Amino acid sequence: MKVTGRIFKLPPDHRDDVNTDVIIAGRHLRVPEDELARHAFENVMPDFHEQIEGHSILVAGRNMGCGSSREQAPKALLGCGIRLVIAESFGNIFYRNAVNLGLGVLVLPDPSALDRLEGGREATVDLASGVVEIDGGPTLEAQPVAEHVMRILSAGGLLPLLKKDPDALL
Amino acid sequence: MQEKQAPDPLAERILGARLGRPVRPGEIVAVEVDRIMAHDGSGPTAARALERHGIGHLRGAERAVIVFDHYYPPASEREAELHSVARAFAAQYGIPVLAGVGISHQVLPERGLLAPGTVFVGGDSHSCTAGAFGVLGIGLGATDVAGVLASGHVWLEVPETVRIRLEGSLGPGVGGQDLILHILGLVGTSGALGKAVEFVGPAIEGLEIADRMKLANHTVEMGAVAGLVGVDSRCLAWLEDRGADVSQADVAAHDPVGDGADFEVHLDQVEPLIALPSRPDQVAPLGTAPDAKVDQVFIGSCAGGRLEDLRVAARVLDGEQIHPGLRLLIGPASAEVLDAAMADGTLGILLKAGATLLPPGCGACLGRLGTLGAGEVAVATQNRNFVGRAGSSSSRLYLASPATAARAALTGRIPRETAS
Repeated sequence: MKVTGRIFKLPPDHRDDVNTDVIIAGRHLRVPEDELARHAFENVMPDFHEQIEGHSILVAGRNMGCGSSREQAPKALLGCGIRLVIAESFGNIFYRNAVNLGLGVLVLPDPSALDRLEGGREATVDLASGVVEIDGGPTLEAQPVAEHVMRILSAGGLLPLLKKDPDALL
Repeated sequence: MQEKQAPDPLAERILGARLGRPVRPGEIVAVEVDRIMAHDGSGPTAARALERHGIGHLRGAERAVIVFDHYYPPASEREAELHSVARAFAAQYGIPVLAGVGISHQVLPERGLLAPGTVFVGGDSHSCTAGAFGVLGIGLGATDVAGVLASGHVWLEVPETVRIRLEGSLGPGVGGQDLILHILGLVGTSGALGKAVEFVGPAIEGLEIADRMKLANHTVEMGAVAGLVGVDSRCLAWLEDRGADVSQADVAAHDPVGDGADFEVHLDQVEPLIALPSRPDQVAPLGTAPDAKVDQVFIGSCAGGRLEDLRVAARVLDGEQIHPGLRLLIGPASAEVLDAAMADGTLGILLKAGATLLPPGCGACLGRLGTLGAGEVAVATQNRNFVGRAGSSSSRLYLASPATAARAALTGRIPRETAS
């Protein structure tokens, strides 16, 4: 599974410990799902949904998506056109939610490698191998996505996988 | 002589017992789940997702319970619709609904629905609270819960364990919330990322169940997958009182020695703390907190809305009046807490002092009630103070113990000292 697209890098003051309250505020949890995107990051970057246009790879820092289990956070990012989030590390629940909904996730634990993912550049990412090819170089090596996580992502999410095979993850 | 070894981490013991073989951190396992919880946010989402994908056979249904705690009673047509969807789903699969009786993390143990030594998943990040009872409690999102309902199992990477050793006893005027804020300051919001946190050591046995629940509850704010306190005789007595199945409790025995822990905490050295906006781990001693006018105080939530918390607040506010113009909101964690607070006079004291009573449930924690306006400042006994958590993005939330929060309600300012 490969993702190709333009990189959007979160600004330095909103790169680490991004919590899901910040990704989608509590007051928007009950809006119809197709309205989530326009409220993404609203509390800290009111024009995020405009800035993100034309980008499909979001780059964050340490502990991306910590806090609440709200699934509306990855849904809002998917609604913004994001197909892959690359981060130094992820909050456990956010990571699982993203995978379950078919949003790609990739761990790049080396902060200096993360620095080389500049906003606006195009990149092609192979999730299974963890290889990130930035157009015009360099090529970075992130952690390969674990096999069982790849199975969920390749099926388009957790429930499509379990629909095909209820024992798929046992 | 053979060197004494610390017992295996609790998370590994529970998973090993469930799988019938030893497990090691880092391996991927799928384990049968003993209890599944969804609330009125995650439940309807899971129900709709299952329907959309045509999954109608739910192996986990008979172990499930749905708790209406976030949006009860509904305050909009959309919230009412969430309840309708959840009720229809529950009726279809024979899943019990507990509506308006309190927060899932309080109600499940109160009703004997959590068994020590077993695995619990909940569609809420604070499902780690179950760890106070030696339960491996894992918070998940709605689709994950749907998957567990369908398969009856949860997959996970066996977490490494961060062991935190507690010794000594808390000083006067210092509470369990100060203790966990102290620990949060030490560990930080990503200090236990992807790991289990286990509280060990001799001080555990002196901690009330309510304080153990505060400890386990906050572990997700350290990035942990689960937070655990082993079972001792006090915990066992509490659980048996509630009719819980304690047949697996031996698996989850408390480690009172705590050799080789990653963090050492001397309870005598813990002082009253406050978490500054907008990070739960940004803690400061009360005396160093910036002075600010307070517009709202919330004593409630799955972190700080138990009978013990309300009693502490009542002691501070007995015969007093809250500061004019300030809102003091009381959110009992459950109907049982509310009932007990009525019976022993705690509630009367708080209401006479000028408090407003919220329904048992999540209350003001997520800003649905007691919404903070632009620039407003609040002190709360909850566990999160993120930007815009409880209302306007320019509001500011401080986290503190019920004693400190009650003090703020009296003075109308961020307290610089505890109540005398």
